[in-house]
Amino acid sequence: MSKRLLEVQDLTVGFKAKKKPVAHAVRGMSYGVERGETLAIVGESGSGKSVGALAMLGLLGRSAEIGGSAMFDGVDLLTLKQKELRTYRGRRIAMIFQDPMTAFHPAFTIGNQIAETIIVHGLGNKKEAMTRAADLLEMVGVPEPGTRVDQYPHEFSGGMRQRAMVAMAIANKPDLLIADEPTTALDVTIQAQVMEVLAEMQREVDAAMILITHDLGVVANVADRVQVMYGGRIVERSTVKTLFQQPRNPYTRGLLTSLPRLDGSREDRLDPIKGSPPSILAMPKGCAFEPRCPFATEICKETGAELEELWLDHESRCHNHAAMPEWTDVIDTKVAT
Amino acid sequence: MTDTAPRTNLDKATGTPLLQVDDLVTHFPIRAGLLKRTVGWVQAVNGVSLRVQPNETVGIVGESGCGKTTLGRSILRLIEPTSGKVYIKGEEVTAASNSRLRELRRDMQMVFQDPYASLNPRMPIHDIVSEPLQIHGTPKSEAREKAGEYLAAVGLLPEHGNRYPHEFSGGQRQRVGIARALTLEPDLIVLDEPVSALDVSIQAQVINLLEDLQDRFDLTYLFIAHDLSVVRHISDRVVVMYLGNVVEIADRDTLYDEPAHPYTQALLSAIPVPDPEIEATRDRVVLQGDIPSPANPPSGCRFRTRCPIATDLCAEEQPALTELKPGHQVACHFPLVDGAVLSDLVK
Repeated sequence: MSKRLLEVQDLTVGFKAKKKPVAHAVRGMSYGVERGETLAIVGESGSGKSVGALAMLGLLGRSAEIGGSAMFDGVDLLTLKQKELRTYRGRRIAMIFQDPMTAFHPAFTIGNQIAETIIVHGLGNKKEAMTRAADLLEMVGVPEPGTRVDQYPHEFSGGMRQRAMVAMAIANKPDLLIADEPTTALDVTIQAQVMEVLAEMQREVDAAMILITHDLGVVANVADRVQVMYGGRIVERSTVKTLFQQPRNPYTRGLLTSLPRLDGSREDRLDPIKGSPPSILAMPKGCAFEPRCPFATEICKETGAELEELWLDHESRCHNHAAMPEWTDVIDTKVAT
Repeated sequence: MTDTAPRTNLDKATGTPLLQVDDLVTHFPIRAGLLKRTVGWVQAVNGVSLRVQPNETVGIVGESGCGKTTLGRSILRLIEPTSGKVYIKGEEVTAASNSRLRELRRDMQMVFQDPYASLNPRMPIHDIVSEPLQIHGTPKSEAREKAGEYLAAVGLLPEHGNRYPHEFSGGQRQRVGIARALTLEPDLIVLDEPVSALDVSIQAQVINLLEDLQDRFDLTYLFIAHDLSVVRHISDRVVVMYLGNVVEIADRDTLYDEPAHPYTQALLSAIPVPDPEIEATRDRVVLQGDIPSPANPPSGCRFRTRCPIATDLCAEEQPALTELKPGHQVACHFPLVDGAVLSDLVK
């Protein structure tokens, strides 16, 4: 096996509050990202999908207790000092944040902020960087980049701001892009534009991408592999095709049957997951999904299952894989009723 | 289950509408300068007409700034419309006095988008849910008892009544918001993005609940949302809005199977489908540009700046909403009929 670009081993993230036990948002997460591939991390609010990425980049602040390792091209990011991390952030690893309204500094021009990432890493002087900023804006499809480069974030629409964010992220040709809900704040027609630009730019700079999202539709469209998170753990992981066609984890299945589909049979009743996700302050003792799981048995209350390799490139965390009906049957009965 | 037959039928379409909206216009003044003179207008809703039959669910979809929320609020007169008429059960809401309006609100209630902001954090749940009844003259003890019944109807426990909003999750709060809308036994509920703040697994619970309540209490829904998959699931008829105008109205199947407005087609093709095989074979039309500002809309057809098939005519003349076939109206000079597909035309 070729050496992976990023190899995360047993990452844990806990938050400590005064006189309270540490609340674990990520409870042991191991995964790898190959050069050039797109890995999607899917989960609902509180599943730990963003926190894991923020922890790697040292963006969580002091109250976070981080464990495990995250080897990026031979260096463990988690052991680096902030100063050393800074040479990675925005250079070899770039992040695209969810909210384009707040991710830019309102008092500096867009061009300035893009140029800054270039100057900080010593990849050009002010003049070169500003020219490059305008070029980058053009690449991501911002009209009139020459004028736009001198405008402030409030003069950009949401979609344009997110394009500018992509421009900033690819400014130094990073090896890894981390996109945290890059299109969640945008309208669908704008979302389609931004996803298109993002994928194009990823190819352009030949970067790997970790796409963090709750939107299974976006995942199906752009990712190579997917891992689904629940309660701070990866519960299922596979190639995009396998995950959508043969999901084996009860949570993944629940997510898929919860979704009203544009192409689905319209009189179907939705099949939601009962209850609500656990709080990280009160995680169930066994499997985190047990209280909501239709297949739960006694053992699930006691211990959580390990990720089990079901097939090549397909892992799922469940004690009761054998008890579950074939996914095709689940879909068929849904259509039949 | 026998409810597989579509809920709309022809006699409903010809009966008296529960809600009738005629040429509703809501413009907001833009004020500037020391004297706060009006320097322009944000044309949020620009002449919308629609009819909603009893027991029907009409979905209103569009992107931010299309006026869907303003439309919903203007119908209830939570925002005073600039002009136009709204009738509920034949009575004109827009002409009602304040006291009469309050009585009319018994028949029309609203569920708001943000379950965090729409519940008073300092009121226990049973007060929140029984407040509408108390306002309308029901004694407190009786109102609370009724609140308990409606809490049960939305799947909460009666003892939840003593708790405060912060003790509930987003999905539970939205249930509280729904219970509050139900207590006056309204005919019409305007649901403004009722599930968009919720996670998918919770979203499905709330959608199922809304469907159950509709059957149980004979409700009529105006369902405002930006998510076309959700709207398809719940609606009988769908209204598509763009920049304050209705661009297409059709029953659900027609709208999703034979969309005639270029915007509707583009909107449908922009939605990612959670199935990699379908995604790989889909022809997508990615609309160029941003949604123009409703304070300064384009001349003629408001969609023309982003429309891939716009011509000079579109800049000159605003297309009227015209009927393609009974129940299917579209506002376009060049509607895509007989299976015409935008992505083919663009190539």
